[in-house]
Order: sequence, then structure tokens, then C-alpha cells
Amino acid sequence: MATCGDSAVKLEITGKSFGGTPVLGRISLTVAPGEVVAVTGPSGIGKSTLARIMAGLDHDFDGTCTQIGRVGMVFQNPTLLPWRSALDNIRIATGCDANAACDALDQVELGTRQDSFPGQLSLGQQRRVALARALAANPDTLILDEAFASLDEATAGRMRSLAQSILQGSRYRTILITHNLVDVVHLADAVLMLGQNPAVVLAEHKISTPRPIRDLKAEMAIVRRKLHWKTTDLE
Amino acid sequence: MQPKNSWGGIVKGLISLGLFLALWAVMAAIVQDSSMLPTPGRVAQVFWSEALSGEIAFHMQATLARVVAAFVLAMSIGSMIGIAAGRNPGFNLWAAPWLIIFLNLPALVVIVLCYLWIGLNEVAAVTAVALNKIPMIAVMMREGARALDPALDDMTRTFAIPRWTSWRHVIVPQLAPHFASAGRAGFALIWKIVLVVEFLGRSNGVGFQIHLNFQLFDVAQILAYAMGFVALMLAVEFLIVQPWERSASKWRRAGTAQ
Repeated sequence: MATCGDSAVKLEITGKSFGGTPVLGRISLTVAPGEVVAVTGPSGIGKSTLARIMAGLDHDFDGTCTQIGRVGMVFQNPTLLPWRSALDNIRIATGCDANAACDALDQVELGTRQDSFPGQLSLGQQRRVALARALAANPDTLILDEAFASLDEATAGRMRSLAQSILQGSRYRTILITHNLVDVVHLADAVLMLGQNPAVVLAEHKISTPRPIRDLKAEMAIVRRKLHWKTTDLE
Repeated sequence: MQPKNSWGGIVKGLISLGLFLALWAVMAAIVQDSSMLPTPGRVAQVFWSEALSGEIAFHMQATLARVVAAFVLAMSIGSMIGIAAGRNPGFNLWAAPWLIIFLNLPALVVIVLCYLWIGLNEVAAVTAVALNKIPMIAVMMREGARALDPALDDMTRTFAIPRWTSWRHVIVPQLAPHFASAGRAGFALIWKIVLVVEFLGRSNGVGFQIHLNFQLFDVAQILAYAMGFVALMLAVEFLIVQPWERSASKWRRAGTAQ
């Protein structure tokens, strides 16, 4: 697949239905290189459907998705091959050589666990392998679909810090699917709140302060106010 | 998971086998007619003399060749049909009625029809056995293909994993337990059908020998050939099937998260 250089990913959805039931309405989304856009909203609103459309897994929608380029995705479940080692999981999925796979594992601080099978790793470690796999694909577009969900707060915090250091200065066009406000203020440059039925963009907000120097508490308060976000998690 | 053979397990297995032989010996002592039920010792004697003459090796070799040919044919075609039906509901709509018909067609009818239509030759013999087994393997593999993890399919598509790589590293490992079940069930049934095929229309093989000894009413010979082939099939199970299965499921025994 051709790479996309400095073009932004543009997603224009006018409708998406499942068996005649509309789930997504008009949604427009643009992600520039180096930018992280968070898509949020309550569970079941269609965030993962949006991620699947962007990943090219669902073509049955009205609209267009352009300049997506090569995709690296971290799924809601790590989706690793349980019968292959962490290193092989990266090599098989991305076609990269062993050195590149090792580098990717080093990047997520799992360089010492390259021979471990996924069943020997904790959920947080499996998610890191999944992140390493997405990075080893050398993606133009990186999709993180609830990549920090179901982790205890300490592990989720480490994952966020890791993701932040990886995304800092990168040229990935990153879409972060989450219903967690902490993920948003840690990692996103912009946030879209989905709501209604079928889902549309109810509100959007750009976070202008660069990620490393953000006052997280202050940003949380701003995002809460702008997006009418009442709790930390939108369940 | 395949349990590891411990010494305790082996000893229990040997005691169980000893009990079977003891029961056989008791029955033979009660019947007191070696032409009806010879003792295990008498059968072993016959087996040994047939082995020394080279007869048993010749006939077992012929049967084994038919078993292997029919097994390979049935596994290949059955797996292809089963996987296609499991992955493609449209194809399954067409294939399912055929599978039901062939599943319920008596083995004897297939064998007789093959001999009538193809002739009394090896092709007919192997085809008859394979045709009897293909529907069962197809159904088992179809269920395996239906159970493939859709999330791994998504991962394969997202990362654009080449078809052959995906087949080798993503699909086949998921189907491995189903291949093992279909293979084991297939092997167990195929050799029994091969004996019937040989009984009805071949001039060599264990089935032919059983037919011959049936006409001569030589029960010791029948049991010697039957036991010999059972031993061979057990050797295949323990020396080929189980080691392969252990190797394929190595990752399951690797332990859990620390």
C-alpha cells in the first residue's frame, strides 16, 4: 500500500447501518500527520464501528475514507496468536525482520520477553505487544481502539505514559478510541464526542497545550465543560 | 491438553491390558474349544509363525498402503470441503445436503457400487474407503472452520498479512485440534473399512486373510491378524499422532502470566 506522506486522513461518513438499523449518521474526521484525535462517547455508540471503517475492515458504509495509507491497529482485545512468541507475533503480522521486531518490543519495554507466548504475559503486557506490532508495521495511520481499557489504573497509567512517549514527535496520524477522559487529556490533540442515535459528532474540542507540558487537571476540567462530560468514564 | 505419560499411568495401562488377557484366557478355559476361542498363547503362537513366514508382514503392508492412500485422500478432500463450507455459508448451503446423503449412505453400499462401477481393483478399493470417510472429515473440519476467531481474521486483514502466511500461521494452528480429531477418528474407521473392502474384493491384505480363514473356520488365524493390525494402529497412534499433537499444542503447556 502506498504511503501518504504529509496528507491528512479524511473520513466523511454520511451513514452506516446494520441490517437496516442506522448506527452512524453524518461524521467528519480529519487527522493530520503527528496529530492524535480522540473519538469518544458512551459504550455502544459506534466508536469501534468507526475504527473498523478507518482500518478498512468495514466497507459497507456511505461516505469516503481517503489517504488512510498503511494502518497499524491496537484492538480492544490484544488479538495475538497464542501459539507464537511475542517476537513471532510481530514478525508474522508485519513481515518485518527479527531485529525490527526486537526494536519494537524494546520500544514498549518488553525486549526481555520476546520468547514468551501471549498466555505467559499479563493483559497489560499483551496490549504492549499489540502496540509494538502496530508500530513495527511502520504505519501511516495508527488506530488505538480502547487500548487501555480493562487494565488496573497503575498499568493503564504506565501504558498511557508509554504511548505518550512513542507518539511524541512521531508522524503517525493517530485515532484514539476511548471512553476515558484521562486517556483523552493525556494523549489527544483533539477530541470528538459522539452521541445521539444514529451517532453524530455532538461536540469537538482542540487541546492547544502540547502534550508534555499539559496541566492535566485543568485540561480535564475544560474538556468536561466543553463536551458536557460528567464522569471520568463514559459507560 | 494431552496429559503427560507418567510411570503410574503406564503401569495402570499395562495392568489393564493384563486384565484383558486374563479375561480372554478365562473365557477360553470356560469354552474349552480352541477352534471357537483359542487362548491368547495359541494366538501369539500363530502370530509368531505367520511373522516368521513373512505372510503377516506382506498382508499388513498391503492393508497399510490402502489405509494410508485412503487416509491421505479422505483428509485432503474432506478438509478442503469442510473448510470451504465453514468459511463460506453460500457454499455450505450447496454442500450440506450432499454431506448428509453421503454420511448416511451405508459403507457397504459405497464399497459394492465402487467395485461394480470401477472394477475389482486398487482404485476402486481406495476410492470406496475414501468416499466413506470424506463426509465425516468434512463435517468435523466445517465445525472447526466455523469456530475460527473472527478477531484474528480482522487482525490478518488490518495488517494485510499475505494469504499463505495467514493460512500457515493463523488458520492452520486454529484448526490443528480439529485436524487431530478428524485424523484420529478417520484413521480408526478407515482401517476397519479397508478390511471390509479387502474382505469383499481383494486378493491380499489383512481383510483378505480374515476372509480366507473365515472360510477355513480358523479363529486363531483371524485373531492373530486382527491383533497384529490393532498393534500396528496403536503404534501409529503413539509414535506419530500423539507426538505431533504434543508438538502442535506446546504453547498451551507453556504456562500462564507471571
